[in-house]
Amino acid sequence: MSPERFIDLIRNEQESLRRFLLALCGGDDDLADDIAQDALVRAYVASGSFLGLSKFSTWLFRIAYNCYIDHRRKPEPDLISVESPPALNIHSEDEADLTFRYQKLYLALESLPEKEKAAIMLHYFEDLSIKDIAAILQIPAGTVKYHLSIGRNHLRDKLL
Amino acid sequence: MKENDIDSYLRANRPQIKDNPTFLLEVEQKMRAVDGIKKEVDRQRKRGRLTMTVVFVAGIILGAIALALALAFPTEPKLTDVSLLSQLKDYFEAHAEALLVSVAFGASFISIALGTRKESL
Repeated sequence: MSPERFIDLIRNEQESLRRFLLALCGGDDDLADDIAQDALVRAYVASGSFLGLSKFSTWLFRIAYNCYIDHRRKPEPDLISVESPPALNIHSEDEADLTFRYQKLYLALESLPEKEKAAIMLHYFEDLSIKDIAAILQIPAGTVKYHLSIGRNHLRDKLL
Repeated sequence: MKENDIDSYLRANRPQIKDNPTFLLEVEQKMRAVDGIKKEVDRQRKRGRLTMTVVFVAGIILGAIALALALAFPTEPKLTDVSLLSQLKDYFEAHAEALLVSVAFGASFISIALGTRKESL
């Protein structure tokens, strides 16, 4: 597949993919975009092995989620950061409003276990079905429902 | 609290991504870089395969020439070095264990070295 053809395929998917990773990364858009680009390049390299057994978007989200998990597993560099946590990084006034608006939500989501957090984000932010979420997270549909239910309870305690 | 409260809260607070017009351009550049590396690796592989084929064919041709020469100009084998052969045989019989252990060690070392060798780009 040529890069142009692949770019055409991902043009409609990249926004929701970046939003999913943005939420996973606690609002750190630079990190989210880096992981998104890494995921898309990995998808391009593996595009020959895409058999069409699942939706293209589901396949992309699965690769992106695996990239995010790989990133989380990497050991943190031994540096003492003088910057604020990702959820508090502010670059301009507009972004400040946006960041403060989502700060509470990101902090609440950050406290959830990984699969619970991902299931909530995919269901509520990307409007994906239970079946698609199960394919992305590679867990049974019943487990997705369980994660959504538990995640909702956790978030209700923290947000409302 | 109602069940729907958290649902509507989450749906109303869907994160908004920052506008990044160069995002897809950067992805395309990275994909082209990956393509370049893939092409180079393929080129190296093809060159390796060609070298193997040339060496194989050259070996067969040289072997055939050597056989043809041996058949065209036959010579009587010399039987004068019997003493040297018997010395070698005696030496092997005396040190058979040490020699076989050395051969086994060498074979193990080579197989481990080949098994752990990484392909370099």
